[in-house]
Order: sequence, then C-alpha cells, then structure tokens
Amino acid sequence: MEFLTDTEIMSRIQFAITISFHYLFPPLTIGLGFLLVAMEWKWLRTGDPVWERTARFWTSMFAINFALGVATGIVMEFEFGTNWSEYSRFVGDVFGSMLAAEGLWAFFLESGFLAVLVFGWDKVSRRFHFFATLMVCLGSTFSSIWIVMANSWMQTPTGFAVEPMLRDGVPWVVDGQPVTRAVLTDFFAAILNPSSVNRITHVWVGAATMGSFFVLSISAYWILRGRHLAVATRSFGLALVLAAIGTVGAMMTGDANARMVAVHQPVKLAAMEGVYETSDTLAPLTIIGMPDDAESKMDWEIGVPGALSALVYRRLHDAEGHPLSIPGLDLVPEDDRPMTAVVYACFHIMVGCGTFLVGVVGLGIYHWLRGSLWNTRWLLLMFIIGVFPAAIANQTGWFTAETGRQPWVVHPASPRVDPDQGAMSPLWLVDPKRPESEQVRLWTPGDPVDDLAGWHYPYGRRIVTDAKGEHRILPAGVDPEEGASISYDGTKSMRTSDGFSKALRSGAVLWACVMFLLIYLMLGMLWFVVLNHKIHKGPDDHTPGDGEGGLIVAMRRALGEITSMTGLRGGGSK
Amino acid sequence: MSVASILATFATAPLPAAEILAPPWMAHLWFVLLCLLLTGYAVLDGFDLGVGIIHFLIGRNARERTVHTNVIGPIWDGNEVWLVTFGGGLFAAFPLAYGSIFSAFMVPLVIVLFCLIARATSLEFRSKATGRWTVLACDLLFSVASIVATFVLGVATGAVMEGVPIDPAGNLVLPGTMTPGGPGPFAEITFALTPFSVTCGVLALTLFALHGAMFLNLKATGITETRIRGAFIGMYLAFLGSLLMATFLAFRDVDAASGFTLLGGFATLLNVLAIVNLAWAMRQRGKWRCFLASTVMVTAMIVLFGSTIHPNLLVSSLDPTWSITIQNAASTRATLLTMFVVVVVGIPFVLLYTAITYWTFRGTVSVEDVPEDRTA
Repeated sequence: MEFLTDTEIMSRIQFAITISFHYLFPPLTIGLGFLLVAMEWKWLRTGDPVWERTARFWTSMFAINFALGVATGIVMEFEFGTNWSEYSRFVGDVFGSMLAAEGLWAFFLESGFLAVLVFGWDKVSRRFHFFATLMVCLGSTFSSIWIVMANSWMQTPTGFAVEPMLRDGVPWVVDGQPVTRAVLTDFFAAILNPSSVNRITHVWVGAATMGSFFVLSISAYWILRGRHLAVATRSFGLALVLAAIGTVGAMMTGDANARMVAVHQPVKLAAMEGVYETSDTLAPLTIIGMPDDAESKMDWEIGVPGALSALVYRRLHDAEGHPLSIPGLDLVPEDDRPMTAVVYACFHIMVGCGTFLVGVVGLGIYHWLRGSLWNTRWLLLMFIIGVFPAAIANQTGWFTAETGRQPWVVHPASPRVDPDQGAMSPLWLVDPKRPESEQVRLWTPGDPVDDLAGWHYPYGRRIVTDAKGEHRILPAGVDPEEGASISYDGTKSMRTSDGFSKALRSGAVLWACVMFLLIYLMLGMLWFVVLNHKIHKGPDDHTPGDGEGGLIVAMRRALGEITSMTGLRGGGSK
Repeated sequence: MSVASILATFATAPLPAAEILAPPWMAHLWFVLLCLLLTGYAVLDGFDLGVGIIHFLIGRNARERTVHTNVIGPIWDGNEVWLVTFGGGLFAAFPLAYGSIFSAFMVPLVIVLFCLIARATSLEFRSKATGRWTVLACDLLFSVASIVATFVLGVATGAVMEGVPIDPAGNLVLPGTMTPGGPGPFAEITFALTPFSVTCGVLALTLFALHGAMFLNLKATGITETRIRGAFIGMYLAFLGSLLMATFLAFRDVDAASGFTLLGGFATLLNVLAIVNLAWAMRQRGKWRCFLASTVMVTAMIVLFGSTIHPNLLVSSLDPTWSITIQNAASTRATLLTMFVVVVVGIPFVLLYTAITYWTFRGTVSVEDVPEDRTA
C-alpha cells in the first residue's frame, strides 16, 4: 500500500476515479440526444401522441443522466487546478482556453435549454420544444468537440511553442531554473492537431453506441415483458439504426485511430498490441495473450500472422520486398514505457465488446428485416445486456488512450521524421553512448533488427540535421546551430510526474478520493433508484397491475423463461 | 537553457500582430471579466444557495419546503454553470493563479464540490421520495450542504483577500512546515482560518440567506411570503452585524483594504444605499425592489473583493514580492485576445439562454399548488 503515500499516484487515482465516473454519462447523453432530436422531429411532423410519449419518456431519462454528467464534470475542471497545478501552469495558455471555450459555448447552450426541454412540455410550443432539443443536442456535441480537441492536443500537440515565463518583464527563475510554459502560436493548428478529427469521430460513434444501447436495452426489456409496446418498438427501431451507425462506425474510426497512433504514438500502439520485441518479420495480430511486463514477453499468445502489419500499413512488403514489421517496446527505455498489461487489456476488452455489439446489431437488423425480431427472445436479451459492453467499451477505450500515452501528460511530438509520410516513414533511433557522429540512425520497418541493441526512440531529445546532412543528438540546453534544422523536438512535452501539485500532501489526496467515492456512491444510488423507478413506471400514464418490481428481478425472470425455451411466442405479453 | 540565451531569444522575437490588437491592459480587462462571471455566479447561485440556507427557517413543514424546491428546481443547474465558466476563464486567462489558488484551496474546494453535488442529489432524491422521513433527510442534506458550501466559499474569499502563505513558485506552504513536527493534520484547512476569513464566511451566509429570501419572496406566494416577512428583521440584523464586523476586521487585518480606491468607495456607497433601500422596499412590499436591492448588495460585495485584491490575484503572506499579480499570471496576449473574442460573442447568447429559461419559468409557486398527499 505504498502508493497511498505517493501524491502523484494518488492524484492519478483520484483523476481516474472522477473521470471514469464522469464518462459514464456524457456518451450516453450525446447518443441519447441524437435520438431525442429524431423522436421530437417525428412528433413534430406527425403529431402522433405515441411519439410524444416516446420523446417525453426519453427526455426524462436524458435529464437524470445529463444532471449527473454536469455534476461530475465540475469536479473534473477543478481537479486540473487542485491536483495538477504544475500541469495547469504549463499548458494554461493552450489547454485552458479550449476548456474555457467549452464552458462558454457549449455548456451554457445545453444547460440553458435543458430546463426548457425537461420542464417546458406544457409551457412552450411544440416547435420551440423541438428547437430546445436540437440546441441541447448541439450543445453536448460541441462540448465533446472542445474536450476531445483539448485532450488530443495533449496526445499530439501542435501549434505551440515552449517559452520562458516572465515576471515583471524579466524571465522568471525559481531555484536557478527558468520557468517555461507552452504558448499558443497557431490556434487552428492546436485544435486541429493530427489526432483530433480521428478521435472526435471515434468518441461520437462511441457515444452513438452507448446512447442507442441504453434505449435498446430498456425497450427490449419492455418488449420481452410485453409492456409499453407502442413506445418500445418505435424507440427500438430508431435506436437500432443509430446503433448500426455507431458500432460499424466504431470499427471504421477505430481502424483510422490505430493507424494515426502508429504514426504519432508508436509506443502506445506497441503497448496496445503487446509488441514487446521489434522483429524483422511481419507482426501478428494478437487475439489471445497475456502481457508479462516483468519478462517483457507475451504469454499464451495466439495471433493471426501478419495481420497487424497488414492493418497498419495496408500492405505486407515495401517496394524492395522487405516485410513491414512493427517497432516494439524494446526500442523504448524502460522509463518511457506505459504499463503495457493495462493498455493491452483495456484495448482488447474494448475491441471484444465492440465485436460483440456489432454481432448483436447485425443479428438484430437481420431479424428486424425478416419481421421475427420481437419473437427472438434470446436476441432481445442480448440487447438488454448490451448496454454493459457498450459502457465498458467507452470506458476501456479511454483507459487505452490515457494509460497508453504515459509517462507523458503532454506527449512529445511524433518521433517520426515526417508525419505526412504516414506509418510507412522510417523511425529515428538514438544511442547516446556512441561517438557523436554515430548517435543517430534511421530504422525502416523491415530492416534487420539484430543490431538494434542500445538504440532508442529519441523521446525527450532533440535531433539536428547539419549542413552536411549528418544527424546527431543535441545535448539539453544547447540552441541549434546556424543552418541546422530541427527534425524532432522532444523538449516540448511534460512528464506526468512533473505535472502534479507540489503543494499537496498525499493524505489530503487520499481524503479527497474517499470523499469523491462517497459522493459517487450517493450519485450512483440516485441514478439506480431513478432509473429503476422510471423504467418500471414506463412512458404510459397507466401502469399495468404488476406488483413485481425492479429491473434485476425482471431480468432474472426473462433468463428463466429462456432456459425453459417454451412459450417464446407472446410469452411476454400480459 | 541559460538565462542569457532566453533573453536573447526574447530580444530578437518579432512583434506579433496581437501585440497591437491586444494592449497590455488586456489582462486587466480579463480581471474585470472574471469579476463579472463571479458576480453572475454569486447573484444567481447565491439565491439558490440562500434558499437552501433558510430552507428550515422559512419552510416549517414538508409541503412548505416543497415550494422552495419547486422554485429552484429548474434553475440551479444553469446557475452553477457560471461557476464552471469562472473556473474555465481563470484557467485560460491566468493559469498561474488558477494553479496556485486551486491547489492551495484543494481541501476547501473538495468540500464545496461535495456539498454542491450533495445538494443536487438531495433535490433529485426529494422529487422521487415518498416517505416522510426520506423527504426530511433530503431536506436536511439540502440545507446543511447549502450552508457548508456558502460558508466555505465565504472563508476562501476572505482568505484570498487577506493573503495566503505561498512560496516563490506559487505553491502553498502549510503552516508549521518549518517546525520539527511538520504541519498539523488539518493544516490544509487551518491555514485559511483567520478571524477575518471566518467572519467573511458568516457574512456570505447572512448575505445569501437574505438574497435567497428575497428571491423566494418574488417567486412564492401565500404562507411562504408571510414567513419571509416574519423572519426578515432577524436576517437583516444578522447581515448588518456580520458586515460591520467584517469591515472592522478588514481595516485591522487586510493590508490592501486600508488604501482608498475610487471603485471601492463607489461600491461601498452603492452597498449602503442598497442595504437601506432593502429595508425600505420590504416595508413598502416592493418585491422586485427588494430582490434588486439584494442583487446590488451581492454585486457590491464582489466589486469590493475585486477592488481590494487588484492588482494581485493571490497575495503571498510570506513575502509581497512572491504575490501572483494579474500581469505575471496572465496568458499570452494573443490567447487573451482570442478568448476575449470568444467571450464577447458568447456572452449575449449566454444571457439570452438564461433569459429564456427564466421567462419560461416565470410566475409564482404557492403552497396551494403542492398536493397534500404528495410532499415532493
């Protein structure tokens, strides 16, 4: 339990707790927001009271999730200052402005109109209510754009410079060290950094999956029980369409993301796929396996030969016929490696959940088109439990992204020479122990690997190319000489261990963790009680005389009905 | 990098266009903007915190208290967004101050966050609860959380005015660090507790209670109105007492308060007029005038706070040269300018949404609207 007295580890744990709990809600509300707009649109066009009841019910569901998202979001914002003050001081000029923009543009929009959405049913016109729904949906989408852009800037930072900080006009020196900070030089380059578009789309499809499976799960439960059928089947249909977009989109954007990671964060990719050793053959795609960080190898590995190389490079051999391999963790000094087991496990859980959901949605559409969906009880049950893999995939996806870039809080820019060349470009490797003129070399996937001992990714170092075209490592604190061009600048980054608040004692952070766990327990209880109440009561004013209570009980019953395999047809109706 | 090479880089750096567009006083403009956001928060969340403070004083039974929760139910969420925006604005405009203030006040802030979330949770639970004791428990949690949050916010504001022990790097030095035993177990809280800051906490309580009562007076009719009228004198005197006490301690303990500033003088005058006007309006039963007066009072307090700490954001009580000033803590002028444009475009929309929400929920709530069998 040594970590309990380590302020950095405790601050990381506190952040992990608060953001994991927070992130249960935003994807749900973003996804549900898309569906609400569709439902209200249907109601506005048709005037059908069933659509009204549908929209009303899901709006009330939206409200509770949204409120929890806001409440837990406030904690996130303040935590940057309380626990990560060194980080905040370093990145405030860039990251802080994105966060503030989010607050002003998006947060107000959604919070302001949410009240109209939830409480205004009988107070405003249908048209205005639809407009309010649209605004809330737009607001939460804008919100996600700003937040993901800010996070992406931490992953693949661009559009900034690191400059000395001034105090009363002169450089500010603390303990003999000049204090520096990241300064915004190009706003659009910073927000449209190499990873932001890829990551935003992936977050959206994740949100679509989460929101749609929330609706699918509850609707499927009602259909199984034969209750609220009009509302349930309509909700199910709309949500199934969104779920199809979400799950298939998640595969496509996920692939694009992995290729982006291969270019900009090769260490993260190696950890995600459990590539410990660089080899000169094609890299297999591990399906089953357990990473062993202590031994730096994979246990019980079963993989598809060459599939990882094929996914990353879209071909197997370069122009000269060399096999395209994946650079592994052995090129990274131990201090610069993430916790591979965690990254690997989270990534594979996410992919596993996603694959399961694609299967369920595919079968759902098949049976829907055949008209047999409402009677396929085992599939409806899959839809009921599908909300859990959807939430787990969203969580583990972010775990992968955030643990994979450790030990950096602001990741160094890509160690590749030219990001425009994509994943095919060669890697810079350095070995500071060699004579100065031989310290830098290029390694292209497919090159022999038996002579790679001692060579590393140049994280935290700067490489210059002089006039003669020779490369060497620039020692820290030396400005590049005239005529030399900087190929890679690793000094523009921040380690997580430099980012936490130095003023904090670990005891205070531990206390804060306990306080937050307490409040999250309370919020979780509230969430469960409200949801259970609403699901049980349903969208209709009259509740069928059904004394039995609770989602869990009903699910157990549904399970029992399925194991008996009898009375499938119409068994759920009362 | 050596200091000399840094200076060299700086001397040769070309003058960016933003230098002309964003003059040096841009940082001070941001200080004013942040004060405005803080005022927005204090005025808006002030009354819903205030309703929580007087929850049991005004609402004598569950039905009466339901009037309170119905009044603030649709609006508290939007009000708290002002706090979020203030935090975000401070982060973007003055990252140094954001890091120093928030990390120094980490424990008080966690308490405030805990209370704000507990408030929200209890309001939600209350609207679902049916049992008598559950409703009472929710009411208690709601009221206690409002009281603690307001008090801690008041104490923190007072402590910032008075100065905090921060080192040259801007990090808090806990009292007792230099002693052999090290800082005490509660040093993260006790560093902020002084006679002045505690009085500020009480002042915040009495001010928000009064402000909350005036809002409730505006939005509720019937028995609630009568009860507010009955409790008014007590709340008014409690506020006056804590205000006088805080003023006295400010002149005694806060260095910056002794100097006269034009703005500070103006705010004081405004405050006095509003306080007198509040009592007068209450006598004449001018509900809107009462609410306006308490709004002006809250605003004047924030203006006084701002004019006292200006040109610092956080005073170091250890060495004045270690204080974090507006100019030193500011982001680059280009960022300040970009963010200023964002705010100038955004604020009218924000005000519009706020107006729409309040317009939608105009009208009053009375205890007669609450069904007898449904307390929530």
